[in-house]
Amino acid sequence: MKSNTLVAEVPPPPSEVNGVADRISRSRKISDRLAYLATVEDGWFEGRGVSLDKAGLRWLDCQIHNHFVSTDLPMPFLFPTVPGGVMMEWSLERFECAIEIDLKARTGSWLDVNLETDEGIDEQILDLDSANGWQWLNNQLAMLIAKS
Amino acid sequence: MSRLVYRQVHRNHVDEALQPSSSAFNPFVTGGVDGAQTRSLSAYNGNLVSAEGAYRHFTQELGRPSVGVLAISEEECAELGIEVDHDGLGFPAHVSLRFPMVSRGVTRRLARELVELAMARGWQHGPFVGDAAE
Repeated sequence: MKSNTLVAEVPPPPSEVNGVADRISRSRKISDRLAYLATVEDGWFEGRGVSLDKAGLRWLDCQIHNHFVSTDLPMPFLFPTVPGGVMMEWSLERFECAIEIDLKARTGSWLDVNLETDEGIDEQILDLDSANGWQWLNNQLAMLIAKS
Repeated sequence: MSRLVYRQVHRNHVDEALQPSSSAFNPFVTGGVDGAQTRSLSAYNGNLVSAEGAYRHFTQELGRPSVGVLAISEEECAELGIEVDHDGLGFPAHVSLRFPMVSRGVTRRLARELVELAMARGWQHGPFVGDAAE
């Protein structure tokens, strides 16, 4: 497993989705899910888990809208984490990928693992308040999809 | 015959089609600097309680939300290196699924394999839209 290692092989950025309707649909799905996550209460998971920071969720909605929904990348599974963050998860055919987002620090901890070899990136911290962080995420996801 | 363990699935861990995410079987990390760190999940011993009984206990007696019950066998856990500890913690049918101390990525791969095995077996009770305990 690599840790905090940038990937040397960077594919071309993922292409944009076709049409405004697709973008609106993708954007709405994300916003609806994040609005639901704002209703999560303390102790939601087997007595553990804290509610999610509302301002942080609005920030994340904005960032995903600005940097992710216009791509043709598959939509993530979004859910709360026990410490009060948000997990974005993609289950690809040959890879499992996830990024755990800290809504206050506005960073994400990315991991991916090859289901056949167990190789992958065990932790890559991304600044998700910057376009560069999202570009890295999109490029890494696109590369793994190409390998799947 | 397989010995099953039942795992409750939180609605936050299923999508609109009620497909569970890997996080439904991603373990809690406990312990840390001063004590040994462990990664485990709570489940029910299928030899002591039915899937429906486990759901009733979880949602009504413990008052916790669940969309339904999935099952994996103890043999499947063993093949993945996950120990099934019949610890009876809090109630007699409680079991802890103890994950090996491997990387985060491999832990997620194990969680995904558990979800896939469980979904191949099918929901044992439920799934229910809307939580009985909420």
